[in-house]
Amino acid sequence: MTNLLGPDVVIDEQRTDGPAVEVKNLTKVYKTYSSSLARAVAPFRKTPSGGRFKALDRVTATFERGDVVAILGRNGSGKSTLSKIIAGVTAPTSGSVRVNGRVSAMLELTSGFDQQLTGIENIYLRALAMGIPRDEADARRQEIINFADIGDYINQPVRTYSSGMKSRLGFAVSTSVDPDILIVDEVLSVGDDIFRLKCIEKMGQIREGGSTILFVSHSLGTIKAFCTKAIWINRGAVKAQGEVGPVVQQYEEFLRTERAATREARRDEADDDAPVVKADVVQVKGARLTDAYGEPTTYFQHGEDIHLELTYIVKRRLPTLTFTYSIQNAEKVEIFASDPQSPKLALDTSVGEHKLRARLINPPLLGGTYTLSGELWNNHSGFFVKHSRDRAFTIEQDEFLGTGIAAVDCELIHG
Amino acid sequence: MLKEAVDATKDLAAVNYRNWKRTYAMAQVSLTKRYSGSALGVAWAVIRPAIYITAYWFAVSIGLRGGSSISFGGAPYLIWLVPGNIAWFFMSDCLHGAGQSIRQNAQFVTKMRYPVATLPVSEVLSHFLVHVVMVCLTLVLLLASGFGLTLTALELPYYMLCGFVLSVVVSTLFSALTAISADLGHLIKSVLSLLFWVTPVLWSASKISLPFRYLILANPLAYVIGGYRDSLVFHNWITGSLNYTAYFWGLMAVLTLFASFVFQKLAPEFADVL
Repeated sequence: MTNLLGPDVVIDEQRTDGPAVEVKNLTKVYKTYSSSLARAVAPFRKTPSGGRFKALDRVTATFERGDVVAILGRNGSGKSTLSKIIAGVTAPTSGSVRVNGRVSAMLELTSGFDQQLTGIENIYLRALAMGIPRDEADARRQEIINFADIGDYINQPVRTYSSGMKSRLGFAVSTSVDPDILIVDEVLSVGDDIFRLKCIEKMGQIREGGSTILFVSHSLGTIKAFCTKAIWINRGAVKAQGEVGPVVQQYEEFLRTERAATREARRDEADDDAPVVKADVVQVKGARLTDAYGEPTTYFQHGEDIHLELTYIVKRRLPTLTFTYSIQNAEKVEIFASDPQSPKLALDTSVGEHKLRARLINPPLLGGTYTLSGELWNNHSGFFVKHSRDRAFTIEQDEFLGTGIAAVDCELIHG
Repeated sequence: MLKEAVDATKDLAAVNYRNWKRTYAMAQVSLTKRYSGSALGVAWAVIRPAIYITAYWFAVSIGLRGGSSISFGGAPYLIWLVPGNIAWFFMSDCLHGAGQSIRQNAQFVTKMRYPVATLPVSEVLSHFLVHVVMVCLTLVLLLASGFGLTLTALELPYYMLCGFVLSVVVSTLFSALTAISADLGHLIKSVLSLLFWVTPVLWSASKISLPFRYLILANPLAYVIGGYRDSLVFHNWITGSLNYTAYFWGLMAVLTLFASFVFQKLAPEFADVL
């Protein structure tokens, strides 16, 4: 058969050597037309017409046998387009794809069921569509029914199924054919926890058999636990790929920044009251972050002390004044805020200029961007002067320790 | 462009040849889909045309002719009506149903890798299976009514093949157009419902005066329907209509090239549209 998908898509079901999937410079442009008639005419015209939407932009990646690859990205970033091209469903606009092995794809929820046919009939229909002989389908039938575990519904038309039941049956059918490459796109989001666990176990077995799994999901927890590799696509282009841990961490960082940016934008609209400077009582003259040697910097190694140098002038005597600080991650989630009544953080309140250095000791923060905020706070009156407002600093980390916000070390005690 | 069309035709033929088992199995599935879920099931495949033919017979011989007996070439109207009508039902069901075959089986396009070019053929084949039953029932009717059969009935399989080829070619074209554009789908449906009135199904083309008769007979469905009648009602051999036969197959060749060309051009877009 001449390939309807174009000469640069090679899907070789028989081949079992070489990488499972290789894509090179893959670009997919969706064309948009003002009417369906314009769309029908366009393929026959010499000059291209219609609007363009670039869903994938020069994506290059190789997925080896036995890899469990998470495809990360926000909605509309091109994840599904990539999995559809690898599944051989849609044609790339340019670039090449090589797939070695039998692909079984579970693309989105309905996963190719005929709504009118019963579950059993759909099992055979899928086998038929994949070119699986009838006797092989007969042999797999009971296994699929057991795995899907939807009881008598298996004899009812699929249109009567809940979305959970559809995904159960879909997963059971897709995994029953011993695929060399399994594509699971947004499928586990609807099942219950027990079924999800069952699916993960099943995919584990498939992986042990040397198959490659491409896993599209928004559930970062599952991805971290289950996948070995990850590729992060943003607006159609690869942002990062490699081992799952570092890629997921970068992606999470990106999500936090994004979310914080939207929240910040909203807050700026809502909150216009500028901080009152009570310069005639206490004034903060200057504040900056430095390393242990007093060199100003906003970059720190993971676990390195963070110093804040502060100069403040007390103009009128106050009974007490406490140094407070808080640290937020990029998403503006508070990681720690000090106790405003802590006697340890009491300041010199005598009239005059004071220099101060605050040392944050061995913060366990993981690599990423954080902000420091804080005040000089008078407990009795609630009077305060800010010394830092969202002062940004970055933690650098060479060694990958794990994901999240802060490192919690662990030692195993055997016996 | 001609070379492209020839290549496209070869490709489609190769795809269908290589996947004929799947095509046949899919035809069975679409039969199941069409008739499961109703109490009478596959009996509807017979009941529906029977009701239509009765209504046509009533409208023409009672309504228009006030009950006076009508005969065509010595055959009673009902006997004349049935063979042409089952040919019409077969082809019209194909063009309606198979034209939708890609759009209605969108999951085969968007969720898995499937030889899409076999979908219209499967749909035509499913109608053809029903049609074979209808042809058998027609033969029984002719024998039971005392009208009888002659050797010209041996030509019937040939005309069935003509109907099959015509349906496959036109369905392939319509299915691609309907998949790409819902507007074209609606347009095709509207034209098909008009087609009945300009095709000599209820009336005979031989009664039309000459320049108009050619126009009527240019419609390839008229060739197939006429063939069924020649074979079963008028007992004419095909040697009497060799020119018309040449025209039919010439038209089929052009249509095949055109349909394949259009299909291959549009096919890469299916997954992005559906």
